[in-house]
Amino acid sequence: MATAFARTILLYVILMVGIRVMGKRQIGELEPIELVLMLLISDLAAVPMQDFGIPLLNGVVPIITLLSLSMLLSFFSMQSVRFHRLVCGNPTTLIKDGVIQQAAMRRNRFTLDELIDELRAQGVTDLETVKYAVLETNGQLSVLLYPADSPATPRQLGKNVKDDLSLPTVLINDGHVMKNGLKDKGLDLAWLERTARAHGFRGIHEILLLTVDGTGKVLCVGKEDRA
Amino acid sequence: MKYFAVPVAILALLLGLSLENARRIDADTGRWLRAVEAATNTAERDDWAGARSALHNVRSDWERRKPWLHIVTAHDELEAADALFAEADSFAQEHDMAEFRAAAAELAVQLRIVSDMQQLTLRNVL
Repeated sequence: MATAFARTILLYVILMVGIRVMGKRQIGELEPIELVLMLLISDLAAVPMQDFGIPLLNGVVPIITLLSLSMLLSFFSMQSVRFHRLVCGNPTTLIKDGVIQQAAMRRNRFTLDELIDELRAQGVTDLETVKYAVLETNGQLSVLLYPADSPATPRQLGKNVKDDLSLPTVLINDGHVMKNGLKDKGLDLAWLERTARAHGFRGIHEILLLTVDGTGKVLCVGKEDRA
Repeated sequence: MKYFAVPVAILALLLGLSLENARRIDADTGRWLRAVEAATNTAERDDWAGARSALHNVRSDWERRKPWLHIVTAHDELEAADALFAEADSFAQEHDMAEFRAAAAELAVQLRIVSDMQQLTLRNVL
């Protein structure tokens, strides 16, 4: 038990250092803390599940230890920017003012092919249109184009646009009434029934999705198999 | 502060439980080893009934602790110790001193392994 505890801490630290040394390219979406946690937990859970000769505690103790360590690292990351940088690293600029930062590419073992792949995935084919490309700490590449190559916004064009953007709230999900959503919107079941009938449905059970946004606009989609 | 206190408390609890578990198993093992040695000495004096009785007492004590040992130790190691208890007892029944001594020594080693596996030592960690 004590050995499992100590080994877990040691392995976690080794993996954290390993992932940091490998660089951001290896991470891909997850922060190092999360990646190491996922790598270890999946394996730890599988071993006592398959081998009945190993006490369950030998899997449980390391998992709880890992989760606690992960919470601690997250806490220290929130408390200290320096610690966060030590654990997660810094974002790295790979393209600055349209110029590829070759030293930064080498440091992160990011090949030119990978850079071109990433840019292409984001719809960029001309490298000269990129003002900044930043390799984030989770391994993702953020691409910022020169304003001249970016789609113009209404603000840039000096146009006033009415702000009618609001998040729709789901009120019916596959025939099920979302009571919290209904309460948040100040609506009730009678309103839902009326809305369903107004859209040509006999009842709530025939509706696949019903949302209402901040302007009161209702989206109602019926089930395909309704009789 | 909760995000600091909770994981630290959990880690401290796990460490405390691990060390307490190691301490108790070490104490139990010390008792069992002394009893096995006493059983061997009794057999040396040709008191086979006494040797079997001493061995039986150790085994009873071992069986009482076994449910917990099953929770914290690899089951193979416990089964190996069980087999050695049975072996030592059968040699005691046959009054075979040489075989009994060998089985008792093997049993002592196996009990020490069970205890050593729980200790927080650099050798175990590495």
